[in-house]
Amino acid sequence: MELQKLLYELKKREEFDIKVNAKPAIKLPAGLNKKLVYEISKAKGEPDWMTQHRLRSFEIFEKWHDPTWGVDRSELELSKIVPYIKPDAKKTNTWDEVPEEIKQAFEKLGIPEAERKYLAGVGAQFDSEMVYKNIKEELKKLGVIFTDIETAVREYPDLLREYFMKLVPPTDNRYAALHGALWSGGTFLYVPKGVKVPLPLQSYFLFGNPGGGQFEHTVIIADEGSEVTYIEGCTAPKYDIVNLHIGTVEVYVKRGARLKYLTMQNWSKNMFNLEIKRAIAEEDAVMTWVSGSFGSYKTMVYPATILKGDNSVSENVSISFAGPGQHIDTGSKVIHIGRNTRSTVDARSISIGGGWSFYRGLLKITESAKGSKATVSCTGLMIDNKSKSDTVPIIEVHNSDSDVGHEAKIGRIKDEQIFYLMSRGLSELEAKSLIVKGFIQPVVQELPFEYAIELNRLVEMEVESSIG
Amino acid sequence: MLMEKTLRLQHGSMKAIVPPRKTVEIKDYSIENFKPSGNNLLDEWRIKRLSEYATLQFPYWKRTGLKRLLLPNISHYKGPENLDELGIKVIDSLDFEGSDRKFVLLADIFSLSGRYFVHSGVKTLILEDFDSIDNSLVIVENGTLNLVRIVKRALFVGNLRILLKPGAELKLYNLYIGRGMDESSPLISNVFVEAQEGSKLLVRDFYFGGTINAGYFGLRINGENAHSDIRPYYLGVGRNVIDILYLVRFYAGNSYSNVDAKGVLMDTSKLIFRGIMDITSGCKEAEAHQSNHALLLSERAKVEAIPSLMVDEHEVVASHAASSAPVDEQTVFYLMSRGIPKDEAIRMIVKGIFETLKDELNNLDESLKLGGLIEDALGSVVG
Repeated sequence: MELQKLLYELKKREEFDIKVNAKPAIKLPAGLNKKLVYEISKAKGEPDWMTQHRLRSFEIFEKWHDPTWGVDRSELELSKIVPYIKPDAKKTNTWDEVPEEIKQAFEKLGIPEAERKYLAGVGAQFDSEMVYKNIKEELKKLGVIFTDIETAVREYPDLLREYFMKLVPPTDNRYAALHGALWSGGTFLYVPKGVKVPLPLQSYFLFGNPGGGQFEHTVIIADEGSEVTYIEGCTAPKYDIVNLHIGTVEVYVKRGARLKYLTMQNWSKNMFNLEIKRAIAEEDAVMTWVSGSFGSYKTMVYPATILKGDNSVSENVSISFAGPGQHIDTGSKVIHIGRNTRSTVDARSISIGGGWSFYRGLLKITESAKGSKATVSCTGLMIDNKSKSDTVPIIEVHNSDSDVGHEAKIGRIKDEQIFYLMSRGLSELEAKSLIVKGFIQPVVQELPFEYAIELNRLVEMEVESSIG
Repeated sequence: MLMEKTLRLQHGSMKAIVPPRKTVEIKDYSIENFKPSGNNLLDEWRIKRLSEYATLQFPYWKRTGLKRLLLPNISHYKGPENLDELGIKVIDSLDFEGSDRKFVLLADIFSLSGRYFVHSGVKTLILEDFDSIDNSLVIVENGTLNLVRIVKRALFVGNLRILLKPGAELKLYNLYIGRGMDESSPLISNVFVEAQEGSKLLVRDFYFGGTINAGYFGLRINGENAHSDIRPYYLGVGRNVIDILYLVRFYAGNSYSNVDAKGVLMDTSKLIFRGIMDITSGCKEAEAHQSNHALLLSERAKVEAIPSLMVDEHEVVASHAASSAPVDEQTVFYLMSRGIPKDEAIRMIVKGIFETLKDELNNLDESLKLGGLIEDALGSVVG
């Protein structure tokens, strides 16, 4: 389905959009050139090393070819994307100082309320910059740093430089290079040795301008023996031209640390969502990715974990939802390097109303990863025969002392299941919706309770709007 | 019917980017190497293909390591030169991409051996007289055909197309015994079958020996109630690279297909298994299963598996499974507790994997003792 047609069909869903009428302080023109990259750096008042990093990344971007796989990106014209839109708001740690229109948008999303009730800290980004960032005092006292990348550039330059774009270097691929040149906003989180953060920290990314690009960067360092859960949420109102999101996430899980990274992506259906997410786990560390991909026009995201240390563990639980006109290409990547490393992948997808979900994964057991164990499970649920569900896992085993298992199945909701639920008084739509909610349960149970309720509501809405 | 591509990365107006084909420069045939067959119909068909062949370079197979190829001299043409009008129509309709289009076209145009026949009734046929480039077409009109191909060669590039007509049955055994001493002499086989309504297909493939032993098996299910049971076996030793691709594409519902690959890898051998079960829209009640289980007996053996499911229809059952593991310690322990030494226990486990294949071959014709080929291969490896 062409984008214009899709947007027309989705008009009826406008009530779910969060519209924001906030005028930006700076809106750079569309286009990609060195001067513009320099202007972003200048607008942020960056030190020379970061300006040079941006310019070097841009040079790499210009030399790189586009990746020769993934979703069709012929409708994405990078030269028409507005790369930097600075909101007319100063960064603050009190909601009262956030401009009314932007605050109201986040209120609608329930962010300030969530912060009061069950979060240890919250960051809120509007367009290209964080407008709000706050963390509980007691965590600050323990040395937890939770801020935006711009602040980290100024206040923690040595710490940031050690990790910034080291795991996802600009040379990784063309979009990583573009991100390196244009990054703006995002989160810097450092949890000191042995600190266990009792409640999740969250950043929420909201988009408010047509034709804009969001390139937020996230660096998380869970130092030795620490524990933390980080939640990332994304949404945007729908526009009739393409928007672009190239977020990059770098996660460092040190010896014995545990980190859980949750993503709930609900971008509007005009968004090209091309994310790069990568973690490296040291000895005895545990890295968990929990991802829900619901929105966007086209998505490419494959959370990756490099199990470098012996006995390190990676868990990857994901649900992707491909509705009318959506092409959701998601997956996972796990590379076992350390001995006795363990990984599990549980990837689930729902295809409905003509949507296309595509699982693409790589599991690699290197020669050094003796005694490793890995399982990959992919399950696709097809609600109708207009949709498509594909799974293409790549499994590379380069030593004989490891156990690797993979299974996948694609199927439908059985008539008997619907009949049973209808005989209990549910309508067909309610029955299908309930079965879908059951299917995504493994993801739901990884979420904090309040988010689980929201996710169920979102699924209900998506199912109803696709088949209702 | 259009050419059957290996990957179908399209859904309505949506498409995915197909990775470009990587190529390598290898001394190729030219128009001078085209030798007439004496059959005008066939030569017209070959010339059409020659124009496509000339546009393609040889592929670079990164996972397999194929980057050299020493093509044999072409002094004459031999192949399905007895093709009649029906044969031409069928061979044209059974067009496919194979492991690489270049090799399919090469065997179509420059074959040095091959045959065409229409089978009816019940028969067991054993074929061994393969030259280095082979092109064959078989139409199974009715009845049952037991076809055994024993390809023992250094260099081999071969095509086999089979049309399995409604209600017909085929048992196909491909025993690929590679003899190539280096990667310039690969064994590359492309087999493509169209199964029509109510047909029954049993395939047993055995890959052993050679430096590069590459097999493509494509099945187009074009009729309801077709049944296929496909079992590739592999035994990798030394520096063997076994690169196999099994594609089953459903164009009709109520049909069943199972691809169940298994084998053993020793020394520095490597297996690349690609499986694609592809169910197109409208194929209601199709059932597709696929699995690959590799037993690794050496620390330096490698497995790379890409088992794919592609489904455009919701009223289906589709699954795949893959595993790779060392010898199960509990099984070895059980055998050792019965007084069997460890080496012998492992030998028994390895032989057990190929036991069914050996029995099936022996049962085809007891006097021929075809299972001996498997025993010989195993004997040379595990004693």
